[in-house]
Amino acid sequence: MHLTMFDHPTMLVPFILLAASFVLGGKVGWGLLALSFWLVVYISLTTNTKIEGDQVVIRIGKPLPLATKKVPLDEIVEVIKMPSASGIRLIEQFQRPWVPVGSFATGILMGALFLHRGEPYGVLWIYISLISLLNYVFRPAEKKGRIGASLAISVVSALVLLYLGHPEFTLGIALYGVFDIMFANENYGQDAIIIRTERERIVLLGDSTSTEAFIREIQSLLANAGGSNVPSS
Amino acid sequence: MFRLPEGMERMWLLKARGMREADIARELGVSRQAVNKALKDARVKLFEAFFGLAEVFSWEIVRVNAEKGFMVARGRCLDKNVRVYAFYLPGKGIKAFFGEDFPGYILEHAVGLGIIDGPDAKKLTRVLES
Repeated sequence: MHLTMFDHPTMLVPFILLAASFVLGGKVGWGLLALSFWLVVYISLTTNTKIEGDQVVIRIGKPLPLATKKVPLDEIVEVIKMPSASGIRLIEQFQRPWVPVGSFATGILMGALFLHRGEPYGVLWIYISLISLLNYVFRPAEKKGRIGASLAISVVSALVLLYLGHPEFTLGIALYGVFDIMFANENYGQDAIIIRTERERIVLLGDSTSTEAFIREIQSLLANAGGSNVPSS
Repeated sequence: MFRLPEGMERMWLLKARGMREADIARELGVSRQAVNKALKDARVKLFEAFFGLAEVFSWEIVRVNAEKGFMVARGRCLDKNVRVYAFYLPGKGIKAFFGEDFPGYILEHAVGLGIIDGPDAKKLTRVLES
């Protein structure tokens, strides 16, 4: 798996397309829905971070580039490696939490819109938005709180759907809730590398192999840069 | 012993204390570009030193901050996992410590650079780990 920049506005596009597809409906809606799913797969498979020359280059999308970000190595003031085991409350780490806040806001607004139209599956949108946000709010180490919150949200959502007269949706919520609790209980999480310059803070997510390789590469390049450019005392 | 060149170290220290590049340039009577270049070089040199130290002792890097001159790493000592905290001290080079037992001069140094607001070892550990 590649190192992915998660706090980039481009990552929000699939959520917006998904919301637009439900609002518009019809053939355009189906087209946007397909485009949204394609974008999710395309972004997750082709986004990568590499050190090229004297800069860190983050590419979202390849061969069709959706966004590129370059950070010169000598502008980096801090490098932090966060393995999943030590816990990541990611929302604290993002300088601009586009994805957590954007997907949450989109989900809540869509849910509210559907409920306003009298369509009960708006509760499902709100439910999934709330559950997704938990991944960014709790550290994996705070398992009990995470599981308790997930359970409470699932129970309340199921009760609301029962009250609205749609018990068939409660089964979906029960299954999703169980899956989410199992997921939280496994302490699953990606490693994060945080690169800070004087102006911004970039969070890169990936598995331990890619984060370790990236640290090794940055280490070797910074060492070489220091040896060749800087006079010693 | 690793040390930044004297002029570079002075600029780095003023920046680490929170001074702006333009003010450093005015105080030292040099151009702003010279300050910017020296600070970039200082950061690269500090990264090099901390990364090198971690490699020599096989420590796993958790955090390297070249702005305030410190590193947090994971190491092993007598078959136990230990936290390693290393600081760049102007004029003295890098000092590393196992665990949270920081001597007074490290706490004073951390207060001086604005890492913490008072000489409290627990607070320093919390800030370094955050």
